[in-house]
Amino acid sequence: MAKYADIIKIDAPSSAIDGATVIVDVSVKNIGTSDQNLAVTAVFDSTSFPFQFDYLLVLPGQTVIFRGWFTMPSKNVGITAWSWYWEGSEWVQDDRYEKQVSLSQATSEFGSIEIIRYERR
Amino acid sequence: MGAVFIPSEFGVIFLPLANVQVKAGDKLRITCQYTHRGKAESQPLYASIGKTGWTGFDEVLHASKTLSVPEDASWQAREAYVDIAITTSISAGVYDLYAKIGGTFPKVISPTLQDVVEVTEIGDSDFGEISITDYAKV
Repeated sequence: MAKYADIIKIDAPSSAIDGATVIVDVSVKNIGTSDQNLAVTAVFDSTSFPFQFDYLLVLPGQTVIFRGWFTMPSKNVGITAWSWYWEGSEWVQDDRYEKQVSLSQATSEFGSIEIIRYERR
Repeated sequence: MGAVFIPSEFGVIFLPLANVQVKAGDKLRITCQYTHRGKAESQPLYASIGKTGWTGFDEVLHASKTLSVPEDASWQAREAYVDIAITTSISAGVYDLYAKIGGTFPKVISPTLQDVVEVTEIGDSDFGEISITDYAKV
């Protein structure tokens, strides 16, 4: 359970083709009772990727979206995102959320066809 | 005394598809199984009735419909059908069948099924029998 920076959801495509830019929107809500500096970091598998904002000052009850992106590799990946809050002297890790992005094929192939039935209608 | 273990074995069983008889006005539904992988796409499923000759397949009747195939991460077997309307432009006789996916340049073509469609002629008008089923004062 998050103390301040509650990750509500991650919006990202469920599949992407190799080489596509995958946009990841992490929605974070300040569930505290005072203004908080909140941040998000994330990885796909073990590789970190950048976000549009390093951190944001968030009002109590307000939800903000941190947008990140990465290039889809040639395999399925799991995204893990962490939220952080500023405690005055250091960033403290708060919440965690995961999402899978599967690799989709860029091409289409038909392997075979055979007639299995024919009937008068 | 020992016993000889004979492993279970299955050979190839050839089950020829039966002939089907059609006449003008009927539809022949041809169901195909195909395999696909990759992104979603739409392609025509095409089937034809005709005769195989030394120059290839001589089509007499055909039909097609658009096949919308979803994305398949790995090979998936799917079924689809197309109906060929039997018209008077085909004469009585025994015909072959084949199907394909794709347009001018087919992506896959089925093996041809030889002599599986028998087109019959519609006979002359004929009455078989008559009987009284009811009678009443009017």
